[in-house]
Amino acid sequence: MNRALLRTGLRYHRRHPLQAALLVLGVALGVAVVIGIDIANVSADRSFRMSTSSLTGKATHQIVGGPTGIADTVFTQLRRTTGFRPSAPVIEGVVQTADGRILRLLGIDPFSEAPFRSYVGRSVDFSILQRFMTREGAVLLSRDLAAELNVRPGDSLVLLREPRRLRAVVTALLQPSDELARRSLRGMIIADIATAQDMLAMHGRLSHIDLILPSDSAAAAGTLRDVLPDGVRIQRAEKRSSAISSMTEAFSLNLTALSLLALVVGMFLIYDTVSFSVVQRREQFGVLRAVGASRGQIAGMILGETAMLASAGTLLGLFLGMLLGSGALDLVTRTISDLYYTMTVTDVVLSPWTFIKGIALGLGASLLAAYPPAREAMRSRPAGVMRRIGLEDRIRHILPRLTIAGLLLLAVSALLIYLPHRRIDLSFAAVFLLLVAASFLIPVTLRFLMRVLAPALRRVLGITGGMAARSIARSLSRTTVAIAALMIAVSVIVGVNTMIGSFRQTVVDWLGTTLGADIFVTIPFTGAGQNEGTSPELRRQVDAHPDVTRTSTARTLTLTSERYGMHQLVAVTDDIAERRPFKWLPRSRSETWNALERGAVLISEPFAYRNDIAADADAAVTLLTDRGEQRFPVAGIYYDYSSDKGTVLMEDNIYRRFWSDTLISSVAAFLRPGTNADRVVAQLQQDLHAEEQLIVQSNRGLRGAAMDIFDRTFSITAALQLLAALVAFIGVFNALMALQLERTREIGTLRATGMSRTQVTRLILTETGIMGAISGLLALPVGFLMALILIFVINLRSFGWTLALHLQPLDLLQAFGVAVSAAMLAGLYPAIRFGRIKPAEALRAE
Amino acid sequence: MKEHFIVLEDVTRRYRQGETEQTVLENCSMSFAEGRCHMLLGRSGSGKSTLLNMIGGIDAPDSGRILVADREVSAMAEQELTLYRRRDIGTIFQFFHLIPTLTVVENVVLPLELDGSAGADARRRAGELLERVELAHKRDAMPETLSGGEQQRVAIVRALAHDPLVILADEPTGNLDGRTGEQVLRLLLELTREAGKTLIMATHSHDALPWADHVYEVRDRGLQPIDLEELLRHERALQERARELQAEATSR
Repeated sequence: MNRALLRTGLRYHRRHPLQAALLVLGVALGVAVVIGIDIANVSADRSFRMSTSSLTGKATHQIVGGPTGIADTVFTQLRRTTGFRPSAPVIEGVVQTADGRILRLLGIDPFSEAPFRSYVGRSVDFSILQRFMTREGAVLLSRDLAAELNVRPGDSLVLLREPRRLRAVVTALLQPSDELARRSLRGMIIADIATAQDMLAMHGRLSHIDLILPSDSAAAAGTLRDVLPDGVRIQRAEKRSSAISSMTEAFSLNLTALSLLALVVGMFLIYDTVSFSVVQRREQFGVLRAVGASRGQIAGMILGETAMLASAGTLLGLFLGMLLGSGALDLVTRTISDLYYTMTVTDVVLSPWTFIKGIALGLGASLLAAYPPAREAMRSRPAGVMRRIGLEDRIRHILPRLTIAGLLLLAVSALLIYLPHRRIDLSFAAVFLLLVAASFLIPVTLRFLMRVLAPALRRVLGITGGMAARSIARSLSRTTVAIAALMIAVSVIVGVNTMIGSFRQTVVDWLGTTLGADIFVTIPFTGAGQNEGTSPELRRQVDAHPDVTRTSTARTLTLTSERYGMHQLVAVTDDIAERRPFKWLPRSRSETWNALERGAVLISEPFAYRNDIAADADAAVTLLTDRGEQRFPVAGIYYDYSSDKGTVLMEDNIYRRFWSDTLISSVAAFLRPGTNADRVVAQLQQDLHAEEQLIVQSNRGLRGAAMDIFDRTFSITAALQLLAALVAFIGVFNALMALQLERTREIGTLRATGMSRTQVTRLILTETGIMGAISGLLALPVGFLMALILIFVINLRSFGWTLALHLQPLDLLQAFGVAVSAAMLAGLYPAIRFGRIKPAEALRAE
Repeated sequence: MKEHFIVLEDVTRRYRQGETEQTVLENCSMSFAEGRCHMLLGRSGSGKSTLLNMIGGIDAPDSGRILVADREVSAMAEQELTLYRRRDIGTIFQFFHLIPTLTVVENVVLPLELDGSAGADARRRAGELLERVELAHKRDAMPETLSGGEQQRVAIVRALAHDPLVILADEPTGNLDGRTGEQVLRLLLELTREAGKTLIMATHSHDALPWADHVYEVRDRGLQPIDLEELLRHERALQERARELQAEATSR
């Protein structure tokens, strides 16, 4: 790279600080969004892995059972009959502090612990151990957590294990030596097995037994397996965490795709800025070529100056990305905790890879975006001949090729959609291709539209209308970019909004058909994957209310199986969803219920999709029950939006027959017609509250709560979409403004020949307004197509959900309005500036 | 000193603009001697600039050959052409064409910088030349702060600073007022003559003709040499006649 040339380039940007600032900002925002999401994803993943790895410790395998764990006699049996030593019983559950902080409660046997979780055994002396094992409610916490909760040894600590309130006593503080343990212990409370069983109401049960098997684990596992009762099995320790992380993959990928969209939009902005700087300097490049600058040197100059500005933008982007990342992390962990796995500690993890990725993307995307304009500059003819070659001639020349390329890309995009595969990344690639293809088709559309519209505009708006139309068509190379950027921004708004709106409406409709009862009593939600329950006594209490005509119960569990990964199991006494929508139902509704009573199950759409279960009479699922593996025929596939993990629904008696579990998760009650549900809710709340912390909600209340979770899940999507739109608007603003400012001399001539200030203002605003309107018009079909892909392809491939399309005409109108007003806003500054400028000055401008 | 330093052989150049094709030069042949001052006369659009551009390697003939110092410019590849422009040609444009983002001295050493050979020697030479054109005090100024005449003087220094074989000037005074134009022209001619450079200059102005060694007219898609003595005689006769007419008019 030539230093003199680079100096020239950088000085140009110093003279156009607004343009340079917009370029820096575009890169910064693009990088920030990608970095922010990456930090959130990496941190969430790291925290998740950290918490699971510190939980599993050095265990290689685990003995696991059904939804309520395994009997603690299995452990003693195992030790006694096999004499196998490296094994440790574990109880795991989630509790809350009084101010709502979620902590993991780990119950252990201190004598078996040493080989597994070093941080427990070592730092505790004998007298403490004695107290820890004998005192009621004795717990250990890390020094860090104690400081955060403001407790000291000997203090008592109130913990909520909904529906109960527990009293724990801090026995001693742990000070783990390694960083990983120190961090994960910040979200953990440790108790003796017996204490934990008591606190979590898991008397006589264990969550699992940790094992360290020798390297020839197959033989060892075989010996152990022989002594295990039915329904209890050995699995690799990482099995559960990998099942959970595969669930969150689609969620992370969707976020990453959206963040990349922001970067792509940022690239448009860079392309805009760089190509305007090239267009403005084309005479200069001609002179440079004439005095002996080679093509390579000119391209190097453009790429060099862009790289320098992009470096500044990337640095700023990394910084903004870190801020954004910690904000996004909250949203991401909340969603993961809502849907997949309760996260107790989330620290912002700044991985060097995140930064390397950010730098590579920032610089790479900038240079990629600057390459076409650099090529354009490279082609500048040396001064003297260049004026004969119109820049616009070239775009007219390549117009057919551009159009064909656009159509081809459209075809490739369609192919990616129609090919039968389940790749989410390819589906997102289809969305990107659609956007690029649409941009390629803009010049030809623009030329056609302007030819058609020019006479009409002339008639309606007078001479300025006709001039505006012609001027847009005349400078296609520049107007196209501005219109494309605005179109992409608006189509993303239309696409994502339509997707979220459709999703929301689908869920609202579905809740309407699925939540059949009038009142629901549930145990409080402490986080996904917690299989807490309450006694069936609750149903009798609800039944006792005079206004309740009938009740039904549901037991909802999260299971992890070898075959189906993480999924839900729901056992109901009768189907309260009389109008439940089915995707496949071979029998009538009443016959279906009879089949369920005979041992068939219903599976949700995501379950069928994830596990490739076809809708046919032979379909069946095989579940590991407490009585060993059982095969259940599938009686139907129903629509369900409560979980993307997939759900198996069975009749309560069947569940109780195969699983040793007496608990229930919720009671649904039907009221006497004409009863005021809110009054009954209030009464039940009072009656039930005495003993347990239960949630009593009316049908309406539960729907509201469900929609709250829905909206929370999409809050990050909406935030990202907003950011992408922001980047795009900066780009459009920049493009339109530069486009106008470049016409200084033309405007000078117009003013000199008698055009008034008002007329100049009207000319500019008409032009930018038309461009905004065209962007808006084009964005509607493109956004609509994008919505179709998001709704019918990406959602299906990510989560297995079929959604119904719901178009909101008002939203579309609003998007169009946003396009027009953004464009006119961008025209305002040049209009004001030209209004002030003296014609002579404008004429002199180069 | 070579008699056939710059040689045109059957040079033809056409321009296509949309559907129409315009032939600017057709089978034009001529040779220019080394170290002399050659001037091209002709009306606007006659092809003077085209000729200069082709010699300068920024435009190429459709057919025919152009040789400069025995090297065939019309057959050079892109990279060779770039080096040829950078090292062997100094160009002065009608519209000055200084790079607005470089200072005066940076503009002057630009061709050398592009070549990676802008050492202390080059800078000193640039300084000397700027002193010659009385702009040493403005070496660090930006072009926009200079008057038109000053800008063109910088352009002349730029064209000479890297010691090229040929100086090409395309109406260097076309954008300057009469007095300033004359000063600039005098400087250009003095400096090229001192350095012993070959100068080809396209001009409208007959004021420059007394300095020319050879004069040509670009006309009818070709290049005709003009007898300088006769032209000047003719010019003087015309001036004489004009004065007579003027005198008659005032005495009446």
